[in-house]
Amino acid sequence: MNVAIIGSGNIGIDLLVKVIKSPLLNCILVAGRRKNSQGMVLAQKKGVKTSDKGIEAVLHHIDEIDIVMDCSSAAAHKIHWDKLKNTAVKIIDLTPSNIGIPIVPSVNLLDALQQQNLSLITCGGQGAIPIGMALQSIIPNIEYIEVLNTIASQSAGKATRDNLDEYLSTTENTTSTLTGIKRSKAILILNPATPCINMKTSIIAITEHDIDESQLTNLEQAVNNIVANVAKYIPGYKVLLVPKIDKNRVMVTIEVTGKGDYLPSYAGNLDVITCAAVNVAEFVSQNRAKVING
Amino acid sequence: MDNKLIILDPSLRDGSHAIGHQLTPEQVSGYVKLVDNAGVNIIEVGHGLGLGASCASVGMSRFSDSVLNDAALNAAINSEICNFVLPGFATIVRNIAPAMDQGINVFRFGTHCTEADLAQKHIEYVVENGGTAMTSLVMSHMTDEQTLLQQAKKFQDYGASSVTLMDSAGAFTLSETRKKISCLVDGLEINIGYHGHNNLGLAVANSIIARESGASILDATARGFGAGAGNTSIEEMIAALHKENMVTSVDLMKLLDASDFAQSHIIQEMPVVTNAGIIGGYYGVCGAFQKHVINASSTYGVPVDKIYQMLADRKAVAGQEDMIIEIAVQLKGELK
Repeated sequence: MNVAIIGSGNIGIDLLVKVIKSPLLNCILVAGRRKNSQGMVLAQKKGVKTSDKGIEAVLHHIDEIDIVMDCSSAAAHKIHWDKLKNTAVKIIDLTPSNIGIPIVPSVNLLDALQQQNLSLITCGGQGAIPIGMALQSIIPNIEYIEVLNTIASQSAGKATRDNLDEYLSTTENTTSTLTGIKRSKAILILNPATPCINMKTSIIAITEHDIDESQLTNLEQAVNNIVANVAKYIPGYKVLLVPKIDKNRVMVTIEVTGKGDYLPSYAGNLDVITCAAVNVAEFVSQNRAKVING
Repeated sequence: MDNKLIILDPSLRDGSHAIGHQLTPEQVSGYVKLVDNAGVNIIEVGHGLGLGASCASVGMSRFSDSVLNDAALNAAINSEICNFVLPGFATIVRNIAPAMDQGINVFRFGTHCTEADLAQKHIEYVVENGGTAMTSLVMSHMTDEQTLLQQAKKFQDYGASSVTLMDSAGAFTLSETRKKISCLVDGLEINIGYHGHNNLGLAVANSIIARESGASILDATARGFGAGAGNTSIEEMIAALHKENMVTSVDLMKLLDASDFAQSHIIQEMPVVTNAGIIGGYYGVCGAFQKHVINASSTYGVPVDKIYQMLADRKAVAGQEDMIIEIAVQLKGELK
């Protein structure tokens, strides 16, 4: 399938490298804003057509495009969606705009066939929601879930920084929607340490009553199972701290190392969302006949 | 730049760390009345990490931001009530806008000392809506004065009224305070402040040096009530400032009544510089981690200093409390 990428920042270019590697996807356009940005130059070097006309360039080539992958910003995606919703393209949104139906491949990939606009939520949401589902499957009465995500400062570009509030609200809303846990809280911390730290997410779940310690083995099993599923499409995704029960709370920490496609391997926060996006795009491509753009 | 010295009391915010964020509206109201009467200019209220920071990893507040704000706003006559805000914990929609609706006009934004741009949108929002946006660079011992200046300039460009260097680990030496404060005073148009912690017993001295170097905002708390080894003691600092002929609007004798109230009604354990405090200050680890480190040390049976050493090696920043358990578990494995 033919893909156009909007945005030539850290996420857009990491995604481009992964799309080029995919046997099912063919990137025909990178549309950004700044002609000579590092990302645009890299795209040209890879032999991909670029434009600094943003969404207008995408609309100009709309008949050749099957999937638009938006790596711009939450505010820009609102505008892009208005211009794309009456076209036939599928949209995979990597901004925290919270417009499309949220997709986490290990949780609800089939939903990707039902709607035109698919939201990849946020890096924290992609990383934490599978763990939330695993915890919920063993201790069903979770009242509160917290997603504390720490990433390297060097991996957070301008759009990520400008979209800090949108990151928090979209992570919270979607974590609640997909896990069914009513109260959720997201926190994002940037750490400038050198050498750069890997992306790390702690998930803390709280229940009304103390959690039975005998559930620990089941919790570990459930977490390991889902981590193995996620690692099929995000290879660097692993458990750093196995479930720890402390009275009425349980905590798990996961770590994501990247493939180093664009930024070095510490930037797992790029891979966690770009790998998920490629997985969704490939799934859409394999199930082309079944796609309903509802 | 205004040369009048402003005294900012964050007892009811930084002190929240020391009592597990269990502050009550009665405590807030009682203390605010007394420090207001003593002539303290600005009073900071809320969770230890500010608006919207009540959470499982750092600690859940017993009362909501809005309940504590109401208590403070109703008790204050002359003092400004201020909310601390760490972007990444609080958002404009969820926290800042409701606080403004409630009557909070002064906010103090904090970012890690190299990440000022994270607060751009929030500062601009407050300024556009007629509020005052003070700012602070957290853990400011972790970078050099030129980087601090460059980051502080961003705050100034966004519309901030001041920048405070937070010595969040109590790690500043006397010469470091002089160098860093002077650099910001010389390079910026807006007011510069200093926020000390007493890990190395230098909090009052550093505050005096900051004033000598041109700072016009000093933070200090009742009896040093605050995270880790405690903050700068406001009674000690005011007495020392006045003896140096550094004028403030605070009445020392009335201030002592406020400190007595804090000691009998709010503070559970008087701040003492323990071994953990010294180690934290020496390695430069965020003071707010202290209680969490001591808990993890006893739960997992690993020494406090080893946890601190590793937190320092990994350059942990404020808010990374989750890392303490991970480190304790790792150390436990290594020690087996």
